[in-house]
Amino acid sequence: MRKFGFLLAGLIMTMGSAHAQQIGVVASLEPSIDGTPPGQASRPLAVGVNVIANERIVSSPNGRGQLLFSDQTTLTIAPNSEVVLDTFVYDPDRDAGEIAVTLGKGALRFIGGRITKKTDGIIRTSNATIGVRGGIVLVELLAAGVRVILLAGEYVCVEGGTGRHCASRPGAILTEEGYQGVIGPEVLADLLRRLDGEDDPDPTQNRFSAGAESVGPAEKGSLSTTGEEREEIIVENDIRESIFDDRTIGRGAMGLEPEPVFDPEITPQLRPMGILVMEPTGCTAECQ
Amino acid sequence: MTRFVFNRLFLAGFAAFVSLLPLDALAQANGDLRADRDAALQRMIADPTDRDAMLAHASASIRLREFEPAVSTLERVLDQYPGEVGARLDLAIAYFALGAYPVADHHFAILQDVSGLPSETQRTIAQYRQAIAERTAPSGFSGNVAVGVAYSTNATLRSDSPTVFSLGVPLTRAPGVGSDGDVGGLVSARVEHRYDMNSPNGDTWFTELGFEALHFVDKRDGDFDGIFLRTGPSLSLDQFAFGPKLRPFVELDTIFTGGDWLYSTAGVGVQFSDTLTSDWSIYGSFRSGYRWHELTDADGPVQRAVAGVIYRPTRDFKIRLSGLAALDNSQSDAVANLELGGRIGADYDFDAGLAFAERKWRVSAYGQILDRSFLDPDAAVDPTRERDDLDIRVGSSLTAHFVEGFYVKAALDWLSRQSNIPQFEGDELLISLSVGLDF
Repeated sequence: MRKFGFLLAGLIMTMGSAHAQQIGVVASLEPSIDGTPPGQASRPLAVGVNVIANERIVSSPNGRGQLLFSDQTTLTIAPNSEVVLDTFVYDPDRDAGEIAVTLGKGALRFIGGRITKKTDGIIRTSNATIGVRGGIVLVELLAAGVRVILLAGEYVCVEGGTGRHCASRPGAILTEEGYQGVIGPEVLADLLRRLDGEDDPDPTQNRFSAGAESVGPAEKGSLSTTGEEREEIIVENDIRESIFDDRTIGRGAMGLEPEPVFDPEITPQLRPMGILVMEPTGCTAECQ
Repeated sequence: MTRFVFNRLFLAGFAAFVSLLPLDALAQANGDLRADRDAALQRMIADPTDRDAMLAHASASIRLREFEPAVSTLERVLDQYPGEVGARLDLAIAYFALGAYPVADHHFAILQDVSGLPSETQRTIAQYRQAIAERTAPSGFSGNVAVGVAYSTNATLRSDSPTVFSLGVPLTRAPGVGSDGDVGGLVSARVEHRYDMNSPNGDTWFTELGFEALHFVDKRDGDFDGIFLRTGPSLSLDQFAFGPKLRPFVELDTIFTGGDWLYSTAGVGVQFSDTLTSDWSIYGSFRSGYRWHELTDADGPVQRAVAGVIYRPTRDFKIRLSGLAALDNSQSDAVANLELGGRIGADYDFDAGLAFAERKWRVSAYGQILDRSFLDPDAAVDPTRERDDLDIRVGSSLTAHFVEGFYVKAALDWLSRQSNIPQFEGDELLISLSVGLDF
């Protein structure tokens, strides 16, 4: 049954398709957003309602919502925004597909799912095309153009009038002109407030724990969204485990090399059987 | 004979260590977790408000260390339950695990402003924020220092071979000049500096300064002091955060043994690493330098190349396989040598079950074989043959982490050198116990 559901979700969705095909579900909204399927009238969306290929999602100045796709991609739409769900293709057996949306105005958060582990998720605007690989991005349309913030992931690229610009550092800001540095906390907080609403934690509401504290603050390094881990020290920590190994290949190590043998303090004596014997000298490094 | 027995015992021990690791059980557990997570996803799609499904999905994702789907679900939990403190803490930590420090800090900062949180939670949040501040600073130092005691069965680093060749003539070694055990003190320090080059790929200029010393109480021949410095930028070769990196570097080292200044080396090199998948990484390094021997005038070039592969079936277990080629032409042809070798090592991190242990403990083991061929016969030893050594090293260690960066490390290292010229044969067992501080 589960596989059947996956297959339904995995059908290829393209513009101009004869049938309206469900590609995702409204996972949350506050207070409401509207959807306009291609060739149909606008409809208010509710939690649990399916969205279809090429549906236009519009939020009011105080409306926002979140869509969940079958590959686990999650799209959060900010107030006063307009998004068209252009393409969604997912084959769970190959764990691959395509996803593309168009941001007409406003802002969104794109959390990549299984598809973007292998191919770029595409976000189009009027002047730029944004590619997201294995990542989480915030995209905002401003008067001056698009502003993209990479929160996590392999990379984000913006292709526009001045060419293609990419960034892979968390917090990087990209515009059509290229890399603009790392986002500051105030700007980030403003944008997240638009997407998520006002933050109002209540210490009495503490019933949800998914166990993330197993990742302690002392844990070194970070994981990529596909589980890769870079450990720079690995390169150093190699066959010469440390410079300490040089201790046993140094002068005289494991043997009496020429210098001690011919050291004047080691007196050779010829014994009757013709074998040269070195007298014990007790000579240490200080006397050599 | 004893040496061969020890070699086999250590190699058998290493094999037993690897075979005892519960890889099959880990793979089975991960498979079960993936099934749970996929089932939870289907329940969420059917009913996005299903709180139990969201908890199951986020929990399974975190246990699988797949933090992106965990973030996706936790963001939705917060959308539906904006006051939920536990979900926000999980979300902040999931972002932290992904290296998404700006957004992680955003959520930690919100939590830190909440009054009425348990003091333990407040302390945890402060620790994460401190870690984020350190990791996102434009410039920062880290490292460790350790001091300890060691016992060597061959502190003199001498052979017990009864025969010593001189000018090709076999001599009988007089008694009392062979290996001798001793107790000593061990000191090590390592400081790393990272400078953020403010590139879109997060490239950094990385500098390492290290010092290691071992001094014995009575026997001075095996004393050692070494200092090294390596500096160079780590540069991305493509746009992937976890893609190939190239690091050109400059390296300096200087080595003292037995109380004498042995040599100094200056070199340049390049280092490469790439995380191919979550399981496999490759790396390599090449250095070319010039070495000055302080006791002789025999100076000259040295080269070293290392290449390796890392297999990491889980985040807590990795196996490293590497090969080495090194050419030391810094001395006369009789002492110049070519080293070829290989090494296999494994690290396993485990939860010690101690509440105050900040990090997992690590048990490590390795085995290494290295052939050292000298380029010409040494007439002073034996003009008829070139020296050829085979070094076998095996070892293991346990690093026990406690609080505030303190750790205790117990290590056992065994070296056995076989040689075609008996006076260069020998072995050493080095046992050490040290106390260290990570900073």
